[in-house]
Amino acid sequence: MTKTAARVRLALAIHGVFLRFTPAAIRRQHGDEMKRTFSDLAEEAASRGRIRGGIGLIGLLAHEAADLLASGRPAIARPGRDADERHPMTSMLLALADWHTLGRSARTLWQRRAFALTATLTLALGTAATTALFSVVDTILVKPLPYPEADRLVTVMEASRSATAKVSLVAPARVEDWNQMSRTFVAIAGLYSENVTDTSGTNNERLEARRVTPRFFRVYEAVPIVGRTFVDAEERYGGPAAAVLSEAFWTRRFGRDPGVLNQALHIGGQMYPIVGVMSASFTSATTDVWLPAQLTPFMTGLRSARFLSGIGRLKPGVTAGQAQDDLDRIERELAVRFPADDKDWATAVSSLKSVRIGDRSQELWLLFGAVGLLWLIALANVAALVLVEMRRRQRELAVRAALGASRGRIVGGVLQEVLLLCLVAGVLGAAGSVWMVGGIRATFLTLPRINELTMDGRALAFAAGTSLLAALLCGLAPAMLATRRLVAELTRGGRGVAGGAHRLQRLLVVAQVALSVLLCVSATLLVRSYDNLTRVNSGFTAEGAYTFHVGARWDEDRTAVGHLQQRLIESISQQPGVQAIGMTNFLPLPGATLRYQVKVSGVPGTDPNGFVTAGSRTVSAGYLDALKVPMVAGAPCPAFRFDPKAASTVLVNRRFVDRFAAGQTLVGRELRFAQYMQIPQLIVGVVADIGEDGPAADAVPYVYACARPGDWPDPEYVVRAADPPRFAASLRPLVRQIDPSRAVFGYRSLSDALETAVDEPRMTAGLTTLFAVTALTLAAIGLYGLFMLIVSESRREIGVRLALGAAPTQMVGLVCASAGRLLVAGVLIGLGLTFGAGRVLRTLLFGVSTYDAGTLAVATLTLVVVSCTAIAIPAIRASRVRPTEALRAD
Amino acid sequence: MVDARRFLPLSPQQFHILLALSDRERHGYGIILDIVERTGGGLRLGTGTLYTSVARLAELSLIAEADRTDRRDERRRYYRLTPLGRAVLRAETARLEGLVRHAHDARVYGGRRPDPARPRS
Repeated sequence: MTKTAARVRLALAIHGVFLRFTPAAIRRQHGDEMKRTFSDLAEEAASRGRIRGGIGLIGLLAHEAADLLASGRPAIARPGRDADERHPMTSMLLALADWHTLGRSARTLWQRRAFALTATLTLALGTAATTALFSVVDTILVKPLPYPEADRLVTVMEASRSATAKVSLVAPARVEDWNQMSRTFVAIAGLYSENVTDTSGTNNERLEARRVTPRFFRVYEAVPIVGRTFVDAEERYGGPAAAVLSEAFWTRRFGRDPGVLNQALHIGGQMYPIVGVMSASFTSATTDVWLPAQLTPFMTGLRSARFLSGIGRLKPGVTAGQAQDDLDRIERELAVRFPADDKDWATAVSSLKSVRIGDRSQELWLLFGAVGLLWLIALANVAALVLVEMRRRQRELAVRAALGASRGRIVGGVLQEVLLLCLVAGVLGAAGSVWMVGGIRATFLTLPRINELTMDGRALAFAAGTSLLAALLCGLAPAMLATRRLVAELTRGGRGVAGGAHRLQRLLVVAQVALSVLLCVSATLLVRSYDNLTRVNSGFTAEGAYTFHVGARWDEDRTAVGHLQQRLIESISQQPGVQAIGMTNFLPLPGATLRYQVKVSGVPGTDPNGFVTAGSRTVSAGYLDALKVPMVAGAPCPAFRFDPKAASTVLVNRRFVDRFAAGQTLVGRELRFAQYMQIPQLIVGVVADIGEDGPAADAVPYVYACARPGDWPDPEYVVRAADPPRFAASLRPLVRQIDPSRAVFGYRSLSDALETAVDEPRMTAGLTTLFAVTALTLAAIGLYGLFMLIVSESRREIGVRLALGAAPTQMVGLVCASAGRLLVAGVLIGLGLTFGAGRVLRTLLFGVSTYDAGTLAVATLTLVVVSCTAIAIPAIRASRVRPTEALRAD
Repeated sequence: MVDARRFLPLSPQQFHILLALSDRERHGYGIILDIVERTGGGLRLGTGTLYTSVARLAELSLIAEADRTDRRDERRRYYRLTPLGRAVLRAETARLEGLVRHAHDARVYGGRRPDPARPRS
């Protein structure tokens, strides 16, 4: 019984909430009675037993809720007409959901095409950008890696005991030891990269391969999309060969043919039957094929050769910290058993996800935040535009109010229009974000997990959510503001004399102008800096030089590789039009800034042991010729051919001489590398400085070791030919003639290859420019919206002034002066921000000062021109106000 | 006397409320129950509709609050039909009858209507 009473009380409470939606007059007059009557109904319903009573009560409540929300409908209030007495919220929602007015809303928008288009495009752009960035952040930072229970996957590396941040690859013996001795891992495996040449197709193809140790695929628990992964026998030394392809390679080479399982790759003279295909999301790297490492027992026992990346799967419920403790325990045991190799080594366990993401997380969140901020500014601007529209339609709305439409109903109607607009913008924005996500995938290849990036349900839900939020913010706020004194104003027969203060909006416009200045200056500086980087005189000529690879593996017989290299360079140099051909281990790029300790006879070292520090490259005779680097003294490297009796020779650059032996002649002296102290190297020449460490770096002392055939199996060949297309056409046949098992790959102009050095500056400059253009557009829309609003609100005032004899041009001046004040304030604040941001910017700039007057002038001028264009329309409108109309209209 | 036809047509809800009050005074709950019973559950008024209609009908003086109050609960108010309300109810009934007659004449029931020229067997 008490239970029934409790239910009735609950039902009464809910009923009380819905009662608030009935017209206030009815509630005042009959509220108590309604409660009494409902409690009678509820008691009757509840008395029918536990289950039937419960259902009855719920049914009654639903019926009552609908009835109370709809009460006050004209049909009920008949006979006789009366003003709309519904709760404002109810009438707003009803008007919003009124299908019959949809056509009218659409027509209204069509009549205001310029407004509708501007607002829709602004919102669509905002939705597209935020949704695309949401996809990026969601995919890269939020979603788990695409493996079953991916949070249990960790990387396992070695680390120096003194500095655990210094992570090293793992020796094969340790992978096996850890796997056997650990209590916290399901399995630990390792892999290493290798580039192989497949000769099974019509053209030899160089493939990015990963050699994997036993248990590798088991650690990931990943299921192949075709076939299977390796079985135990294939993972062991001496077992059958097998290959698992990546989806990208399967698509590129086999056209996604499921019959690929009957085919085999031909690598290094061995057949590798294809057993499976892994999906594209399996790896972030550009891997073509996985092959079993099948390490020899000797290799598996190695404790000091570290070349494997370790990957492990934790047992359920185990944390990375516990796993780290477990491995630390194992390393202490191993240090006792193998003091020589294991004493100084520790382990480093990190979650696979954090390793994959690396240090990009903060950058991405910042970017997302920046885009979100721009989107909010865009929303505020659209809200201002809607407000302008509402002011223009003041009369129409007032007439509707006079005809009995409540404020709620009018707001609902406006909201319907804005919702329609946001719906279109949302659809456009979602489509745009699909396009943007595609663009991001194609452009930002270096972002981690970028191949997992797609538009999914979550992103679409985000787009829908942002559009709805946009509709609420852009529709509700202006509609409420504009309808505040609608009826009163109509009856009074006039409207506010001067435009409102719009303080918030003015502040917003100033902020947008300031932001635009900051971004425009930054973008201009970054673009100039990038331009400087591409024009920098690096001391060599990249134009007309081409680079390529000819596949050769590190574990091949070096003599055979050496013969190949010698024959290759000899035959190419005999090709018609070839001016120079050579090779280097690394192109002049920032990625390869290796430093070595060297000692030169007769040169006092910079450290106590008599060593100096210099960069080093291994180059063949023709390489520096191909780059057109002049000799300063001595002779170039000797010809590139086998000669066991020849001494090892090196060149040094001019900076080396200037820094360590100014005024001396180094040619003819002996140089030794710290690692190979037993091998004396003869300095035969001095070359001019070139920007080996990238365009932005200063020249540093460099030693060029003259390469002998086979020293470096997979070098960068660099050729300078008079007729590059003709040479390119002859290259593959030439290599096939020399050795049919070799693939030529990576053929491109040296300029293209060096472009990667300026990838990041280009990306930064591009992104900032994009932001700057967006900010500028938004500032323009903001200015336009604000002054349209002020002008349409001040029509009466302007009309009076014109009637009193003011010239129309004075009205233009009035608007411009008012806008000019905001503009000046915004520009000053923006310039202040720019100086403040100078410290951050300076680290990104090359060859241009943060306070470059020309740049500041250009950026500011751009902003002023764009702003003036935006203000022109309201200013002209102000000048065209007809005094008679403006005064009569109200 | 005000012309009762001025108030026509009534909404079905209002018609039923007047009808429920035609034989005796009732409170809100009583009106709802009477209508449910009369229509066999076909029309069940919610409190919102009921009291919006009651307020409007009272405003138009078609019904009035009765003098009696419930001793157990003062919140329970009784309503009665005014003479004007009775006249409007009659007028509305006549109007509806007229409509029904028109419908019969138009044979909206099809051939089911008994034909006086052919006596049923």
